[in-house]
Amino acid sequence: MNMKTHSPLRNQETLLGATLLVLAILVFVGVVNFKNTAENYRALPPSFFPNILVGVMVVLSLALLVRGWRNAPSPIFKQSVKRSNVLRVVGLMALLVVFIVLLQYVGFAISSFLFVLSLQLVLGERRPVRLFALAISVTLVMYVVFVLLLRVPLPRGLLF
Amino acid sequence: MDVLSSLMMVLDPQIMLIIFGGTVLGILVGALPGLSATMGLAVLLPISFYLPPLNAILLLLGMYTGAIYGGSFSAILLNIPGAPPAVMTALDGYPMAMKGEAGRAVIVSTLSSFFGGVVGVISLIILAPWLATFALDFGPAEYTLLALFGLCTIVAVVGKSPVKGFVGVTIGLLLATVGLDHFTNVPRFTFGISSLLPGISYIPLVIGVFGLAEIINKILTLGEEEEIAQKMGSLKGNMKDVLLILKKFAPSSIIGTIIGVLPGAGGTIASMVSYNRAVQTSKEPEKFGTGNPEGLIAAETANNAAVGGSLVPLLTLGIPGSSPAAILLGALMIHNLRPGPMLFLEQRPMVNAFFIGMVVAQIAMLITGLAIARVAPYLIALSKKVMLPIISLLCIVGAFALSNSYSDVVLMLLFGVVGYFLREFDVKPGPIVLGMILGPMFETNFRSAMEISRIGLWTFVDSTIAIVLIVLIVLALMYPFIQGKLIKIRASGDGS
Repeated sequence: MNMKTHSPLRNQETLLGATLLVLAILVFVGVVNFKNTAENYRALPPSFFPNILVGVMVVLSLALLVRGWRNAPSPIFKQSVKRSNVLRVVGLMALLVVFIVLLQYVGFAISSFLFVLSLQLVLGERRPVRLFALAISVTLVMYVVFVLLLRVPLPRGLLF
Repeated sequence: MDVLSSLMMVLDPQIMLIIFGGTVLGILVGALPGLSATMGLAVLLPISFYLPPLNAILLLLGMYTGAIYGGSFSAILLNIPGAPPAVMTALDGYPMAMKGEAGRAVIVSTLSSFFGGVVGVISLIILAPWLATFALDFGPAEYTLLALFGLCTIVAVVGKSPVKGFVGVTIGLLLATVGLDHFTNVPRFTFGISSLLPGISYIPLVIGVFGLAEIINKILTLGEEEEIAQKMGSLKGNMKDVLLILKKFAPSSIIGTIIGVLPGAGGTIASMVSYNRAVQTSKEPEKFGTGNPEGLIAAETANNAAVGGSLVPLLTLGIPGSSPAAILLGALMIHNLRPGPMLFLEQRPMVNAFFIGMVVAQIAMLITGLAIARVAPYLIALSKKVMLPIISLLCIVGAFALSNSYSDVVLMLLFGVVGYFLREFDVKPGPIVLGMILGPMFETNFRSAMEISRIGLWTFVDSTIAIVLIVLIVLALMYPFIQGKLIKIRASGDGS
């Protein structure tokens, strides 16, 4: 993530402006493809407001591009980040996805226990007592507060 | 004599217990991201059917008061605003907590909420009929301008670059257009995905760009920052802040009450406008957003004053201006209390008892908040290996709890990652979220105004309120430039 060499995108402003311009074009394509069934009955079509937003986005992106062109080249990412921590974020993302999938099959209690346990491992906790104590207590508290107290129906599994 | 008998009605031990219980439960609902005041009220509604009218309504009013205030806890401690108005609370509350002043932040926010809330209730009592007519003077054109004013104020006060502020607001407004168009039922930006048809809720967005983005940031900087010692949060140790609040709460409370009366996003816009005013009238505007208690005072006072204000159209006209107010309307009707002018004539002692009950709810909030302030420093001082798994789990459960849908959780993940990168580029989460929250109000009223006037822009300068709002918008937009000039003038003045 640490880009010390200067890319053709000179700095943050240029990259943000370019991304915004691309987004504006994509949104415009989306707006053109709106169904216009109700066009004749209303003074304003559904594309009215999104089109204004496209216009605003183009103006903003041009402003950013001009500023980026005037400013000196500078690194895109301000903070240099440790490789191990980037891997941890990747781990978090993977765990979150697994958690969502697991929720649908084994219910909240088991997936929450496994999630808290493995996220602690990813973050570098190795003491077994701590690992299990937190995973069990957090799952229990969440269950009591959400399901028993506030009656939020969390996904149920085989056991809970 | 009327008031005295109402007071006796409320000073009953059972009623007091109900108000306290409702308020504390409300604080819990508000503090948990993903659970809204509306949801809390919906959970309590069936219970309230079995209670006598006064008990029922006071239970719900306690829940409402507590939930709005509770949103500030997660904003201060986790940087996840528990309710839309708490977005402004996070701006200074979270930096304070990061500086080791979590307890102080909770105390300041609690006291401000208390004063704001009490002013809101008192104005509800005195000014209800007058404020109701004021709200009726707002047509689509005025609402459009109000939303625009709200969005301009957030851009003016958040972040260094107004251009990037507007980038955030535009992204938020764009997200708000996803789903079926309310006017024509034409699907917009749904890409054939049916779960996008009803539109995207702001909750996955708030949890993603504030919560998950902050978790990612925390993990990336793991092992780099030194541990910060948290100072204890006690009322005694913070007498200075109490004086500061007493000095500052009045204007924010008034702003909160007046804007809170307007149906729609009253409390949210109120806290934005109040925060903006605090920045602009301050001698040190650069301190806002870095953990300035004054920012916290401005946001929380206005936000809680708006609770009283939001009940004005409900009680005087029978118009519920928000989803929580709509549930309250339902509860009132079930107990045969038909809101409207006649309610004040026929049920005066009962209405007075509501108001007194709301003050009691404020006191319950104060006591609970000061107790939590003692615990808050310990909560935030927990090691990251303990905190991060808990917050991550809360993010998922919060996104899921809203409507029991997995697609909201997926959206939350997406918003979290994009939100992290946008933040690295100085596009702050506040403008994005507020753009999305105010988006529907902005677009609907804008289009209504244009259709009513047959696409004539004159409708936006056709009333006194509209012209006042336009002047305010221009001032908000000019502010960053004026501020720059002022700093230069001041600097040269110091030099001579």
